[in-house]
Amino acid sequence: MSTFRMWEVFAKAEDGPFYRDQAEWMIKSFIPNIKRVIKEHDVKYDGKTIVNCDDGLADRVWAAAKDFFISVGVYNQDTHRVMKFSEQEVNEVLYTKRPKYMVGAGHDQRWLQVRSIEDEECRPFHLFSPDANFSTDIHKKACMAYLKEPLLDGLCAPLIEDFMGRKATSQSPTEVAAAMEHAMNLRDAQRLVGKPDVWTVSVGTAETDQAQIAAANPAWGVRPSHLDGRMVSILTEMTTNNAMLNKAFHYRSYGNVFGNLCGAIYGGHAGGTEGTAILQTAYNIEGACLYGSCWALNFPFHLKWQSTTTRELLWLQSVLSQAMSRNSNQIFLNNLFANAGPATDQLYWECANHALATESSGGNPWGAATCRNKFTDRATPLESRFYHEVSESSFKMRLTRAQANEICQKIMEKYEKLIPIDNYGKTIQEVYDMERLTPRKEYLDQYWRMKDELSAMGVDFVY
Amino acid sequence: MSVEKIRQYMVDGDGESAVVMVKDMIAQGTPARDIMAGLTDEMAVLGQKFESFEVFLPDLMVAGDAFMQIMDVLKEHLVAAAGDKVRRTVVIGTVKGDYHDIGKNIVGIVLQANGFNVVDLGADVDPVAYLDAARKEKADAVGLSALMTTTMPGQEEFIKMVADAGEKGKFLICVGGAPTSVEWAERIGADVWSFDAFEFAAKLKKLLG
Repeated sequence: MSTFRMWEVFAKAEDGPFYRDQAEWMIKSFIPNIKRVIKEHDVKYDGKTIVNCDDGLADRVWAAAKDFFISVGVYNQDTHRVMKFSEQEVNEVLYTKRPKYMVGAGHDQRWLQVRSIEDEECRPFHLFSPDANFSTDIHKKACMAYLKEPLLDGLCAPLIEDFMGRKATSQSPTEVAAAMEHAMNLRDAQRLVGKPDVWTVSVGTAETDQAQIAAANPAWGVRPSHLDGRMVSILTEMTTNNAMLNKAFHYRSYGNVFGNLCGAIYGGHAGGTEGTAILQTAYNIEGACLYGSCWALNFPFHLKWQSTTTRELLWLQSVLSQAMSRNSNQIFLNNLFANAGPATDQLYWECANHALATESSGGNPWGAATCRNKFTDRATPLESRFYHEVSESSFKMRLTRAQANEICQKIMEKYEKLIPIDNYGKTIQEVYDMERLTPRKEYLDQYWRMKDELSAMGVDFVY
Repeated sequence: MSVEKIRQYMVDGDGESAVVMVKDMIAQGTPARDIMAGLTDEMAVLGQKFESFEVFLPDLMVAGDAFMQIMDVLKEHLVAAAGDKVRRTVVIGTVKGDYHDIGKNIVGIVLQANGFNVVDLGADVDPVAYLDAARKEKADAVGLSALMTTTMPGQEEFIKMVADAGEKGKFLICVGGAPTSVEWAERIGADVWSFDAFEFAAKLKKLLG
């Protein structure tokens, strides 16, 4: 079972309370309510902890998030109306949420499912994703390089930037064509590395609803049902529009096990750590109610650095994960966005910290995105490999939250002061032999050295 | 009644109380420019606190909202005098096809805090609308924000359009947003790229005086 009363929900876009513009709604509803729930539910961050160990706090964040979502609703930019959900409606959706889905097929079929805090049975679901643009001429090879990774349970492939020499532009034929090319490349890449039916979340190149729909094709493109995943965004903050609702409708009708892409901005409309944690948790509820999404991808990020690996944001992801694991049946993943780039020691440290902060909190790793998400070709499977190996090792060790926090504090000392400094590293072409799709020796040596350093800190790698 | 009290009302987001006090003080002979100077100073303080995250965007927004309510009352009393610094005008917006506006909103508030006159076109702005606004407002600069790689071309499109219209050089063309970079700005021929709103305000002050 899983409740999504699709047409009743879509009708809310036409019936809800009217606000002239989003700014008015922000000032009159959003901001006062976020301040209220922080206070009423006593949510506080101590400024130091990285992995939360306070179950009561996690529960209060959940309660605050649910209260906030019911109070504020979702602003529709196109209709200027707020789509509000009653407590009864929210409870119905949350109770009936499916806690597991079979995704992919054949030898790459996997369970995507709810995990618990310090989970002893259910390993993390490893979603590899650079979340970056790659040059069109290497796109298929880059997909193959990622797909080769042994721990991969699913892939969100790199994006294509250009089509026929022109930059892929939103709402134009170049975007539609680039989205189709992305989907075609990915299918070919899967067959060529022997993973034809591994679950892929597609198509990142398609920003618009029309490009997403154009790329959906069982023969050559994005596949229906459990074979491929999709994503629909919540716009910042607590906002949607008809293009997003169109996507949700298409994904539901196409049968995909699709997710809700949500990233509250630390320092933005929700304020500091506490407000952003509540808002990010509320987004998971929102996606289920508004879009009928099957899972959520959480990427709360820093307003200034556009990354998810600062101290407060790691804490936020840990407390959000615990709030969800303790209080809901909702599946979610945690998105790593690092400051540094490939072949830098800093990137490895950031990967390790994000993995450790989220695994023992019940999360699932999605990564690794690098370089503040700014540059083309600046991500490689090698740091993703490291990231997912750390997460898997944390699970295999049955690392507790307290143990994870201790290691994370030591790792934070390695890179916290470096965050403001631009450190963008190398391109995939520099780190990888793009013919054989393997890392060059120099960078593989670095990967092994970083594993040794992390082992010395207490992480027992699986292999 | 005092300028200090009006500053506090503004920080608290209590535009209504501030407006009442402003009207009373003006009626009793307080120069509008003195009140304005106090408010601009307070917005600058808030901007600095926001940069270091001592306060956050909601605090800036409620103060900014109150600031605009007060300005609606003050502007009819403000008469430019000889030697007064001219307020530079900046047109801002998020490019066509892009609905993300938080970066643009922050830029607007920080620019206001730094004494600029800001004309905010909102999100999903057609390039023609930017040009029309720049002409109408006699803008000194136009700022285009993009948050996605597929909407960044809107920045390049505007620059080409301005050149085709023979208006190149009449105002600064400034680009920004999470996926942009100084390399992108140089590639498309923008005049200014900034990492964040604060760097943008500082650059504009230096370039425009």
